[in-house]
Amino acid sequence: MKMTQTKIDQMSGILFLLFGIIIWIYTRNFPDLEEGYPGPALFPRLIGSGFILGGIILVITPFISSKVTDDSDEKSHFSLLNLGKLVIGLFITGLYPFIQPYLGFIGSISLIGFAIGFLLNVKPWLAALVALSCTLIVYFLFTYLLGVPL
Amino acid sequence: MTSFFSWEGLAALMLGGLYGSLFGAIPGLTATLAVALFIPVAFFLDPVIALPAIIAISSVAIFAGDVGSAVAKIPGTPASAAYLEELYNLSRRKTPLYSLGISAMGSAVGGMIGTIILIISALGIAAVARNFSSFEYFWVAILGLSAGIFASGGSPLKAFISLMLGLLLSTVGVDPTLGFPRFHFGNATLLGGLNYIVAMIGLFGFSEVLENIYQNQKGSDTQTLTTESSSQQFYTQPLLLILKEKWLVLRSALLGILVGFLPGAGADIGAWVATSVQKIKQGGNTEKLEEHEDEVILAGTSSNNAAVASAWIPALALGLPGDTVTAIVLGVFLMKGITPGPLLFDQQPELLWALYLTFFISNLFLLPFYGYLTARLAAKLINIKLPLLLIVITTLCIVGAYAINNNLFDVWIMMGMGLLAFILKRGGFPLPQVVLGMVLGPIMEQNFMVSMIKSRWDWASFFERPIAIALMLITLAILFFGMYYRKKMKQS
Repeated sequence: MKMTQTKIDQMSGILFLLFGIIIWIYTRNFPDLEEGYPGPALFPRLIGSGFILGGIILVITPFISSKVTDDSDEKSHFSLLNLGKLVIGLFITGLYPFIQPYLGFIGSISLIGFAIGFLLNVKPWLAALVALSCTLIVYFLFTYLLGVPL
Repeated sequence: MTSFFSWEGLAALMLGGLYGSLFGAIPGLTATLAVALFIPVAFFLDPVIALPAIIAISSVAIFAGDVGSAVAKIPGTPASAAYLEELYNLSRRKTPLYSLGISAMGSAVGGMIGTIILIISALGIAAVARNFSSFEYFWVAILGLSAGIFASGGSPLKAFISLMLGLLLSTVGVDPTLGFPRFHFGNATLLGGLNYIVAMIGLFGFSEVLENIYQNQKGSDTQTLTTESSSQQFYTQPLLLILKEKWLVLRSALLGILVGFLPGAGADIGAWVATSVQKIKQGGNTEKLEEHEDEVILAGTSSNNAAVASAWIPALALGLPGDTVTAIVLGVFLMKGITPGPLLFDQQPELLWALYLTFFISNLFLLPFYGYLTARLAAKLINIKLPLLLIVITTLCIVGAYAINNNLFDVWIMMGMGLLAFILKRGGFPLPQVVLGMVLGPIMEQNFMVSMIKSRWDWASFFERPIAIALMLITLAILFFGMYYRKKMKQS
């Protein structure tokens, strides 16, 4: 799937516009200061307004700009297969808080490092070697040399 | 002074420098953490040995933060995020020895300029700092944000949106006016807010891992071939660049000092303003920016370390911490029964001269020495095949995020930030501005709310005080010249 930068800008403009509106809606129940002056909602709302303004400009810029885009515009390529690999990478890393209490620091980090290496097409023995040695070095450095508990 | 020149004193400096370089170079470990962990040791040392050791730790650790930028694209401090892309690209285009040489030598020269200013005008500058109220701090934060818009070198609109994202992330947690919890979604961990070091690790480090998984890259051999010796690359060439760009170095160091002495995020704003001014001068032309990456790095680093010295000005003269490191140092002062303030200059001249001397030694010897060692290590690391390096980066990202607060939830925050960065990169939105927004957001909000409450919501109060007006005019000048140079460059 290919997409021009102009299209990406317009799509992100719409997303930021919606995001700004969501911030305004989310903050409607935030309390005010005494005498009705704005309180904790003020800053998020100002930021939300910034998103709305920025989003609108991103959406309308291609229409008011004299530059002809579509054909000459840089195209970005989106691949569903690679996106799947990305999700797997996120899933693997996200396992750390779950497996650390059971496997400990060395076991869990080595396992994650190995899996990430495998995902990056590194030979399994090399991925295991790098993951384990890196984990051991980090563990020694943090725990014994720098006194930071892991 | 005798204990400073004793073998214990010199050993404390050398070991402090080594300890600082280790801490700074590892993602997730900061100069502040290094100093904080040193406190139990400092308690048993003579202040004339303990305080110089702290200076050595912080000076070297702040430089060493650039090693992470050069190798793994993970900046050590928010200030080094200002020139992250340039440092990373230059390390790959030339060698890490050259890019980190610029960083170390620029830091050393900037640090020495900062020290000279500290010696000759500490009390005078402190008197100016005393006139800063919430109105001036608000304008300083606005100044930093305005500089950030033009520091990306790309679209100012996208930089603005990235800043907004950073500002929004900074509002997570308890609000400064009523203590009302915002955007915590029922999670108690989020009540304390998002740690920007964790965010930086995710935004810059983990996003690289995701990017490479997505691109399915097997990695190219990044080995750089060069005929120059390593000492030429690290010392000679950067020093020649500094001589050639002496006005840039002086201007950036002065910017670092002028903004850096302000308690809070002075050093970070200083580096951002200095790099932004340099990029504005280059007109936002991407090709030209690539040619002059070394100058942008030089601007940022000389400002960065000049601010390290100037952060000591309010600490010594007023007893107000300029940054987190000096906040800890003030604790050490009190622990040792020393009262900082104007009287310190009359009552403890020996201690003050030991501190000044340490700044010179740190910048003249420790930074070039440890800088060279870490740069050589970085040059080796950068030649490791990319997929193998990514395994190391993943490990460091997880460990770095976890080690900050010993909190497993921070690993997910780091991952979320990595995913956010991955999405932002696809849209061409710059990432360092997100960090800038996160750092300046609390300063801006708190000082804005305090100013509004104490002036009973009189907007005119922001334009009444002379320093506030001067800061506002500088902000407007940055915006005006930023737009002007961009327009001029587009036309040409």
